[in-house]
Amino acid sequence: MTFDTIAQLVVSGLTIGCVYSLIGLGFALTLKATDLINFAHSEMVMLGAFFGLMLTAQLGVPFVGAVLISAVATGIVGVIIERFILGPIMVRKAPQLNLLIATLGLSIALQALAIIFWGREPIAYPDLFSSQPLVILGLRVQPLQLWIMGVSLVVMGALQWFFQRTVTGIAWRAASLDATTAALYGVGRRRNVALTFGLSAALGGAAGVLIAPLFFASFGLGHSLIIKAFAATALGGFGIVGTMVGGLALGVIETLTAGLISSDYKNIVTYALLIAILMLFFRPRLPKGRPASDAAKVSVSDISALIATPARKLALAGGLLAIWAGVGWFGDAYLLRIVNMSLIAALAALGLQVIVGLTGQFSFGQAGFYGIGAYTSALVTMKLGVPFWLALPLAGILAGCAALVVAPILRLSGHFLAMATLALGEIIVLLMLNLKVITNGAYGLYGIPLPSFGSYEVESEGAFFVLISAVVALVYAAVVRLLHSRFGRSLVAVRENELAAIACGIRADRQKVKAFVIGSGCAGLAGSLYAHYLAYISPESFSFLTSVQMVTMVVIGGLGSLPGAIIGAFGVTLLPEMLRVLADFRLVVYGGLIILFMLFLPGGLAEVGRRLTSALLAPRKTGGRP
Amino acid sequence: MSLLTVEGVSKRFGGLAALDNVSLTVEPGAVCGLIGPNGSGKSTFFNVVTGVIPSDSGRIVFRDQEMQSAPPDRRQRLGLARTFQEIQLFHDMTVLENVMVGANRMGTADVFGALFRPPSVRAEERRLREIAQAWLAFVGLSHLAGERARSIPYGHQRLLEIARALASDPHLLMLDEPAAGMNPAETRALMAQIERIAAKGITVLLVEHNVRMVMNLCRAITVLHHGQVIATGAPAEIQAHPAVIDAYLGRTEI
Repeated sequence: MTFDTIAQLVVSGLTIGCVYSLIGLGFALTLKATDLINFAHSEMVMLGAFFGLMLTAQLGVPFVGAVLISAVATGIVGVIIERFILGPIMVRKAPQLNLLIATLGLSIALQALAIIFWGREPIAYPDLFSSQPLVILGLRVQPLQLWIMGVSLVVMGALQWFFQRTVTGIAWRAASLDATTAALYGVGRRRNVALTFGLSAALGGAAGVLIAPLFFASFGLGHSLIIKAFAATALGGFGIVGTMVGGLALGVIETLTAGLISSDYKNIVTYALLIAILMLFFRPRLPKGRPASDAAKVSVSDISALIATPARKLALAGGLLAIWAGVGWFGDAYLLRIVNMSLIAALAALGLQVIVGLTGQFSFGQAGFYGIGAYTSALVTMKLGVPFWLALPLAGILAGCAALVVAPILRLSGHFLAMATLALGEIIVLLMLNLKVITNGAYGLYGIPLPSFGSYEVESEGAFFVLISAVVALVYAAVVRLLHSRFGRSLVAVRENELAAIACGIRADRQKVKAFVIGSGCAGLAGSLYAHYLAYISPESFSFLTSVQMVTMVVIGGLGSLPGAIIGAFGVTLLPEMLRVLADFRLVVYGGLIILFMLFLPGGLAEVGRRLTSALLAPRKTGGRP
Repeated sequence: MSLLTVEGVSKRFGGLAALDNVSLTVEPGAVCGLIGPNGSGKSTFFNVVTGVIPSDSGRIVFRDQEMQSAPPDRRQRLGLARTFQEIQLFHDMTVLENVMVGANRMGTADVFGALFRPPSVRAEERRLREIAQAWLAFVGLSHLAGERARSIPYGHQRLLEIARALASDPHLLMLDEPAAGMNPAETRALMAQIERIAAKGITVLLVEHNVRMVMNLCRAITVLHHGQVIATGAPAEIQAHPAVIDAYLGRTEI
């Protein structure tokens, strides 16, 4: 490897790094002003790319003009999003997770809209500059690379000038340090937040136009960049100048890894780096308390008190049994298939409820453990001839062990934990893709044997229904037992107030790890069932989107509610089926529904259920208390 | 033999010496007080002793064990219970459950106990519930046992926090400005409550801003000023101590 090649790699690294910096800056701005990691930021990049495409290809606008106009256009979109969607949720002091889910819903809806307008295929930009490389100091540089770097640096310079030299910029910095005090000095909070989202989206849009000539404009463009941009932000310590430097550094590290080691592993390196940085620099030193004034307005739903009498318990059990038998006897193959898929998802969601709902730790990597379970079960049955009844618990145990190995990331909290688990999930998928000898790479594994018990093979949809629901029932009963115990109370105590939990002698770190292992183990069981049910698995089934779906199940069902996890799993699995008639608009409506949910039903379906039941069962006892 | 011995503890925040070579002993069975003007280092002292903030130097010995590097949860399990200046409850748990969490130290059941529930675990769960109910009755909150902690009034939340700390059957109960935000009537009720706790033989270390309350309750008082101990002694000695009068009233103005 010559010096020349390395220098060449560094140049392309700096080019891509400039774009990471721009996107990362958008992240840093919203994070500083509102403590929100805005997942919809990736769609601003995507929108910018398409706006730029229309401007350059159809209207013949020059490159720099396209960057500016797209930035303004996405900036306006950003302000609209803040005004009508995220702002109202923030005003309600909804829990962090609800906001995260709302931005994810927004991201899904915007991507679906992009598919409707521009199709699924990536579209190339017209040739803007000559492809004849210039030779500068002995290095070959494409004119496009120069433009990308030049425009990015000018934008970053302007931003730095804005924050250091203008009154609005200084006011913004004051408000990001202490919004309340800044408000006392006349810095309007709402206006400031709107400005932030506008600026952030504009930066994303500009980055989109800059990167799209290299990567093409596609609906998934932003998604592929977002984690890296966040890594750039983390690398720079979430500051403004830091993010600029962090992006450049990340770009160089990435291209060097790809050039010197292997391009298969460059993303693994990026994600591992992100986790390492978060662990080193963003671990909270003091446990977090939660004063009474700061209590989240959404109460965690618990309907167990309402069915406390034996008669009601019996009625509920009888009703559920009747529905179960009815579905089993009369359900056709299609219905049973959807129900089976929902039940498998419910199993993973139950596990996630233990981690997120009971213990309060964000996990956006649940699909990774789901995948570990699926691959374990498939591989041990196919390659080692292990019977299914042994492979199933093995899948759960192995997923739990994997969770134990990565458990140190639980020292992170809040959004940082969300990002670290997200990166972790992606690393797991990348390993599935790249360890081809074991996993068969992107082709996946097929011909996974049917579950068998002795000579009996589980083959029909009905038989699978019985098997899957039995496992779900068993796990549900176990989780209920865990919840109503000294152990369960300690988990909920950690969720409610970590500082107080520690003051009550609870080893918060250790309890978090236990919850994480148990929850991931459930995902492993679900993965095993999934593998043997479909007989085919591939890495893409376990990607970030699946993790997001699982979190959505838990939040829509109701955080902390075990029945909620099941209902949420059914809802999230059934909804796209029911929306199938909408064809391309399906995901737009789906994303929109998620946003509406976060806006108007922050407590999830369990909250609705609780209110309904208490209204039905105790109509006279409602007056007085809040 | 002392229950708690703090020896030469220092803590700096940047250039500020929040605690400068502070020493203090708490004898078993007594109600001890730590007072000092605003910014004198009371809260830092409290956090260093409970382990929330690590100290820079010095020894903390509790029940004959060196604790200066132990995490806060281990200190609690050794019998050092605390309350918070800014009330910290498990808002979405019931009042009874809050106290049961406080009694965590009195049980051992964990994941496997919860899953298989052998008779011993069931008995333990019953015992924890009884302990919690007894302490709720002691502070007079039995009638609120089933309410969510967030929904009860401020004064009751304060009592709930005390009940939660007591449920661990502590050797030492540390109260961090318990009278903060209370009106005179509530403060009087709180003082009566602390006297009842002391009457049960529980050692109390009271860190307070309210000098009158400390003078009335405590047998031994330590006064902190600018991170240094300026006086130690019985209430009468403290009241007459010139350095204390200076610290509270200032010399030049008088």
